[in-house]
Amino acid sequence: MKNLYKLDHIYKTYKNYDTDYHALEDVSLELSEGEIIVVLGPSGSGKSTMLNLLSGIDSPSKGHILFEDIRVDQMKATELTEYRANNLGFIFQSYNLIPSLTVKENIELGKELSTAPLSVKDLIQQVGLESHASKYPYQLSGGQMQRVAIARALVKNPKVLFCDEPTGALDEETGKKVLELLQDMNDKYHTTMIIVTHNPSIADMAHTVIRMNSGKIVEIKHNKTIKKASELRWA
Amino acid sequence: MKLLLLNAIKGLRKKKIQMAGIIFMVMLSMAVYVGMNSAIDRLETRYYSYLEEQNVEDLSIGVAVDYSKDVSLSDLDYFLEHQFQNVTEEEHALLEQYRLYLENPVYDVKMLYTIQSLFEKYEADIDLKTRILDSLKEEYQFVYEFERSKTVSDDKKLIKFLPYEENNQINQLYLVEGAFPKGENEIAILSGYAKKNHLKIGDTYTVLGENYTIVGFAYAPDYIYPLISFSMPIFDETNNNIAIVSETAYQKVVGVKDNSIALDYQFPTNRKFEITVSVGTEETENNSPFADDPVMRILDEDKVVMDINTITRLGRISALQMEFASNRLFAECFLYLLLTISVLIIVIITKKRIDDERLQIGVLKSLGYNRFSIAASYLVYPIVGSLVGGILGYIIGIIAHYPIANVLLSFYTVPLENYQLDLSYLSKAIFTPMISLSLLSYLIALFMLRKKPLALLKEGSNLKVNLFSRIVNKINSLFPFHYRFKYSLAFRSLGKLLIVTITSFCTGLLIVLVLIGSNLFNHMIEESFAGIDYRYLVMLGQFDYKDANEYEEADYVLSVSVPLKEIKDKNGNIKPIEKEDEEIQFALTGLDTTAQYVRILDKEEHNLIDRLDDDEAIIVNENAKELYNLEVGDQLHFVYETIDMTYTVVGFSSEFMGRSGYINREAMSTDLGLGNNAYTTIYSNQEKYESYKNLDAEEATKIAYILNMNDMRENIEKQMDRFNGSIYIVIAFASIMVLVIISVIANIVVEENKKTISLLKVMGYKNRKISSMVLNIYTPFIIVAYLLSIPAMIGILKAIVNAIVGDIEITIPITISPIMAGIGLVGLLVAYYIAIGLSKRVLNKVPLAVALKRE
Repeated sequence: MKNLYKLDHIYKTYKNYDTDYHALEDVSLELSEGEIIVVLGPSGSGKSTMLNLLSGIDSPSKGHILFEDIRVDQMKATELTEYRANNLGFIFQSYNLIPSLTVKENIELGKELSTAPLSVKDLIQQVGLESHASKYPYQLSGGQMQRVAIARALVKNPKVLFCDEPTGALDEETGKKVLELLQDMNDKYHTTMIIVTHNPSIADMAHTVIRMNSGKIVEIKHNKTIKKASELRWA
Repeated sequence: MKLLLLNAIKGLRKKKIQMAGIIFMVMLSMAVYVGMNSAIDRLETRYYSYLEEQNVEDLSIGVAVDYSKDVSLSDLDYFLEHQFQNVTEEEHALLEQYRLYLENPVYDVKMLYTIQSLFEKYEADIDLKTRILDSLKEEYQFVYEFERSKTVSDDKKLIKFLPYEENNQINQLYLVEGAFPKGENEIAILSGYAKKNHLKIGDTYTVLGENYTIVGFAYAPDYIYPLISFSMPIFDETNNNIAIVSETAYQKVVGVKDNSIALDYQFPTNRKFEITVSVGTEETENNSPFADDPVMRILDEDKVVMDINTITRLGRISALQMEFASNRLFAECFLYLLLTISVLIIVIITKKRIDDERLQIGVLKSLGYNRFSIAASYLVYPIVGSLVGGILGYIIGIIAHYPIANVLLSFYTVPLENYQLDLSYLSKAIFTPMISLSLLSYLIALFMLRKKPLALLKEGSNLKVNLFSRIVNKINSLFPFHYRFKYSLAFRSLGKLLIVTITSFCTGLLIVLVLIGSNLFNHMIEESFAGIDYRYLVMLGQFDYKDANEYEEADYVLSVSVPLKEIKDKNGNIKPIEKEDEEIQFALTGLDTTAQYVRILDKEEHNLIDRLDDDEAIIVNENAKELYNLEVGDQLHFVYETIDMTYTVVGFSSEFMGRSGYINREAMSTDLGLGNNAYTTIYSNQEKYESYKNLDAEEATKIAYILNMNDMRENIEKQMDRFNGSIYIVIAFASIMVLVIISVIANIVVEENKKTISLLKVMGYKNRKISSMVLNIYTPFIIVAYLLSIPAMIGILKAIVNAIVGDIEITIPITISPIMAGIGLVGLLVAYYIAIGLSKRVLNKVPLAVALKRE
């Protein structure tokens, strides 16, 4: 499988008055295309920092980040914007839907960025929201909102989908459904999915699991068997 | 409560732009209010005391001597011995003819008019008028004085000469600095004129070759608005002057004489110079229009007339009162407009804060805090805004009142009261905004805090989309996504939309007002001077006689006001006339068909003057046509004194003021019993009318005044340049207001939509695109609001004009040219885009990480 990302001795340090806080220390890894990758770790382990660096939202203090052999850490602001627009999709714990837009319009927000977007109508169907297309976010449940967010992220057919605690605000049943959807999308579109979570049970559905602690990678595991999302045992 | 307050104060520091906007608007409204009112206070206080101290007249009148009845043979003998000692042979013969008339009266209009002129020339009319006034003064309780002046034009300067009379009681001259003139070569002038012309006390001042030494600066209290001549209707400090000289010097001055009679009533008058007119009803015994006005009542006397001086002098003395009223009104309206906008902004800020803090509020309420104490913590914004803005506005207003007062004084000659600190303005500057802003934001906060704690704590409780937005979004769905996004955001917050729309509408009204004013003046200048080929309009004080002469550069015109008695159609049927009981005065003008300068234009701009070849023809104006439903062929029957005159309508001139008609001069003069070539006005290009010095004595004495049309046009255009300059100042001012308000709104928009902006950045939208989608959402509303302000202001002005001009038949064009309207809109939009541009910097600083924050 082709490598999508390569991180080479990455450090990220934040200055806090007189002390330095090392969010990431000497992180090196390679991520393959088309996989579901789960980044696992407790609060403060550096997983969100790594997501920020991979997506170009933040830049490393030291080290290189390559995306398809292009140095992300050396991109200018406008190049980073294009990088995100052309290649990445995002799903957030708090959904981040636009309250004044309907379901359909929220998905179109993602479509506007792409030169070859997927069909909005098809996506609405795939996420199971046909009867809710003209509803507003305040009229939806948490799970429904997250499905809209997934559709919005996928409509521009990104190479990578970053998911920051996608089930953090959902109950078990709803959370599993969302993960099922992500799995289906991965099967269908071969979108690389990087899921950041503190829920260890999600690791079982991943192709690669990266465990982090105190800013360091403590383990990288490639699962031999991939469980279906519906079979996961919730922690 | 303490914690809530501390939290609110901390929040202030984060909302610098919004607070700055509130402070700016409060400061601006208070600065204008305090500045205007302080300036007017100084003027107004002094104005009324000035009127009392200088014993300014209550009324100016004319006295109509009836030379067919009011002069006896013994009077004539007296005058022959005293006034008429140096008459010419011709004049002596006329006086003898008059004696015969007095012995055996046979009405002779021409002779009587000529006698009147002769009496006035040798000032024999003064005694007759004195006699009439003395017979009335007991009954009406007044004292009177004859006012004299002479108007002189010297190159571009117009000077009103007044004689210094130490003992005069009415309209006493006011010494500003130095001394009044005593010697023949001494003079006192206006201080403003002296300043503009770099003159000081002790300098030599030359008028028409005569040298005077300036001994002082003085004002004439009956020239508070110094209208020197109708040639320069708008006071020009540089070129218009009032010159006070000794009696000896005054006698030597050659200029246009102006005599009037000033009355001073012996009972208190309110000095408001208003005319109370009561319309006579069947129930009242007295149908006089002046019955209720003790000042004007004397005009009911047959011998007392309201002449041009009555209106002119009244205007000169009282014009400043309109400034007081209008400027105070402007300051008041401006204050409340800006306060209204400030209130709306405060409400939005309060609402946003409550939205942002709903979880904390929910927790506080569930802990037992009541909404009254929570709402009180939100008073920090309006209190700080009004305190800081009010104090700053007061200080700026006090400083600004000096130049404001000076600007007003550049048009008026009245002393200025010394400045006295008025702390009532300070308390108003602080407490008016504080109370209005605080009260409303407190009520809004109370309303918003009415929700139960659970409802506030519920996630997404702030995400609801209101019904109006949903309806609009349905309509929006017709548009491409980019516009749908923008306008869904715009309609989601109706409060901000309302502020932007109201601001644009109100500033649009202001801009349109000055643009219409400019258009009106330009139009009036064009209309007034269109087709004017003559340079001088010479108005005589009496009838004179001359045939038309095609070789002379002059038209001779006869003008008389004559009552209309009856109208008949071409079949001889009588047409109804409104106001049957009143005498309807028609301004009749006699013209020669060979006239070079005066034209009678119809609506299609054809010159109809050839139709006056017919001695019985009359061309009436469009206004009269409308009023009486006239058609060609109708007959108008006039009665002047005992003379019947009937003319047939042959056409209509495109004039919309009053009731006027044009008749062949020879026919009109004959019909009036004035011979066949009487005239009262000359329209001419002859250079001799440039100055009185060029005229022979006899001609000069016949002239009442000379209007120099070029000077008049230059005077008006010069003031128009100032006015046009001020248009751009007003547009700039309005644009600055829009800039400030939009900047505040845009700042609030960025803050409110931080998460959305961050999300769009994370998704890969460029900053420019985000700015277009989130900030630049009000353009169509601004355009629509501005466009709506155009018919609104036109409607308001038309209503005001109708209320003011009322019965006066005058059409005032209230229009705005598309180009000027476009300039106004461009001004507004430039301000809007600058505000958006400034807010882009704030937008660009929104970090991407905001989208990643977990709630």
